[in-house]
Amino acid sequence: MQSNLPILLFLVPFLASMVGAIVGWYVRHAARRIALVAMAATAGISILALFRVLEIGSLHTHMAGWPPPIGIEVLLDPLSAFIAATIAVVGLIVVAGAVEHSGAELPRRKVVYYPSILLLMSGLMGITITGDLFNLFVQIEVASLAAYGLVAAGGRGAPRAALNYLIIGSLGASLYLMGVGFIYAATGTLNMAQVATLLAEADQRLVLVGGLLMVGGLATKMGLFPFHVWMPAAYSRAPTAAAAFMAPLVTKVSAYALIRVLFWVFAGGALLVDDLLLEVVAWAGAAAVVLGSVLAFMQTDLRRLLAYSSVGQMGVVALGAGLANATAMTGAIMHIANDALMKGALFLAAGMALIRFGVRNVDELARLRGQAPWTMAVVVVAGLSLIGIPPLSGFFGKWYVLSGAIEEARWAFVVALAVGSLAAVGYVFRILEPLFFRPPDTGPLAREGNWALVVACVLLATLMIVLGVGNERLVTVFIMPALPGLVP
Amino acid sequence: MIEDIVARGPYLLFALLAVAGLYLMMSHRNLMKAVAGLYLFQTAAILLFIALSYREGASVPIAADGLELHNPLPHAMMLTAIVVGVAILGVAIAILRRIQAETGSIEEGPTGDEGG
Repeated sequence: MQSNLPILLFLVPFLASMVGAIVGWYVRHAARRIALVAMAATAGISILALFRVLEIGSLHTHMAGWPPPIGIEVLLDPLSAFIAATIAVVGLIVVAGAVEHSGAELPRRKVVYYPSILLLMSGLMGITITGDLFNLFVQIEVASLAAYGLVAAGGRGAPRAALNYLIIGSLGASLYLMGVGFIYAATGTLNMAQVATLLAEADQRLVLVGGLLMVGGLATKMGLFPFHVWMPAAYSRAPTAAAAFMAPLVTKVSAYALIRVLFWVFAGGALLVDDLLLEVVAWAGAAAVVLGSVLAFMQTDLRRLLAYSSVGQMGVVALGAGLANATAMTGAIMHIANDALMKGALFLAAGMALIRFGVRNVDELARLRGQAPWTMAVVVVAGLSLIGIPPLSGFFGKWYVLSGAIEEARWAFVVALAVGSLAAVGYVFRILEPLFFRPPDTGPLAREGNWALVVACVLLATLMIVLGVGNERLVTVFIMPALPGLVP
Repeated sequence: MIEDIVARGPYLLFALLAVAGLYLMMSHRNLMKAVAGLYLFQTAAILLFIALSYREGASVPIAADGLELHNPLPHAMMLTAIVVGVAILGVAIAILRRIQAETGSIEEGPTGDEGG
């Protein structure tokens, strides 16, 4: 079905970014207002598109009216529509909640901050909707360039963290691009759907090299172990407003891109290559689940702890994708949404703790006692969801991946998930312990963040509970149609 | 042997550039050199695509009936990739200047807490 909805998801934040950057210099607060309106519009369009897709099937936009394989195809199928809606809604909530963060940390640079956020958003949406391998590279770089700039805007040490991120990130993107080159040499096309049909007859050596390079590149962008080294420094040094936006969204969209490439491009007949790639991704995911969670437990810096926790959660996603059965895939897709919610809430709360209470290290969280009840409640919900306590959504993502591993009788992965969850109990307790079981610290006396932050955090926590309680509907209505092999 | 090397020249150059870029990125403490290495690596990817578009005895891809043409699509893609590469180089240099302003040097410090 032809429709202009998919490309609007990219164009709205992209054009708003350009307009905001120009108008923002002349009109006070214009950059922020334009950003909030554009994010709200993107979220609205994405929800509308999600229900249209579930109702009438995939929506396609052929850029400039050229049908594929000549033109670039932009499309929303149930999977990309679900991811786009998740990203857009969490993005809107986080940007609205972090208004105070950005005001406190980037007082004179808001005119640059908001357009960068919108540019990052447009890149993420572009990654989600594209149906073309080379266009995916371009969109990854659009998102990454904005992300590098946002990290560099932070305080002491931020430029160094940003350069690290830039070098590793661009290396990953170049690896991906080289992989695209090999696939193009093997098949002569870049349209994902067409590549998938041609791979079986192509030269398998080229396909294998191309596949490994592409998976390596995307794994770098999603912070999959052992390519996660840019993440802790980048997310702990970035301005808290930027970290709260990037941490829940950037790695999640890259994980989606990895799933898209693995199951919609390589699954189309290149069986031997596909099996090998899936095995590599599954083991990297298992290693990430264990080491990410254990390293998180060993951190003292609050935001570094959260970043390592993301390494572990992305490991769950990669493990689910690598197992490649319907149950594990359900878990992987669900966990992309879960980690977006959990990291959005936790990074918002961590930013508030830094700005209002001067909290950098986990131990200093005792300062929040009695001062910030709402934030503390949200941290508890998000923390329990990270561990995987049943009524919360974080449990179900892990549960499906675990069931998938048991179905395949891959006991090593079952053990990895169990160890990862145990370590998660440890690091979540390290956050909760100073909040609840220690005498209040004598830090600067302050109050909880403003109402926008509280509402944003509570909304994210409510979504965790809703997705957890309404889990069966989430799976049958949104995720089942999105599983590979069921796409029209 | 020599014919082989000549025939695969662009691909060998691609491999050489990629390896040289990786070596520069990893072996030097000077951050500017790391950025230069990154740029070499990106250039290697561009060279790979351009080498793919070459056809023996073909002509420049300008509309002309009856002639065999080099594949123009990789050229179009690589124009985009070059622009992306330049943009990244620009951001990298801007960040380098901020590092220099903050720490007074662009050498990697001995006690960096930047790593994993």
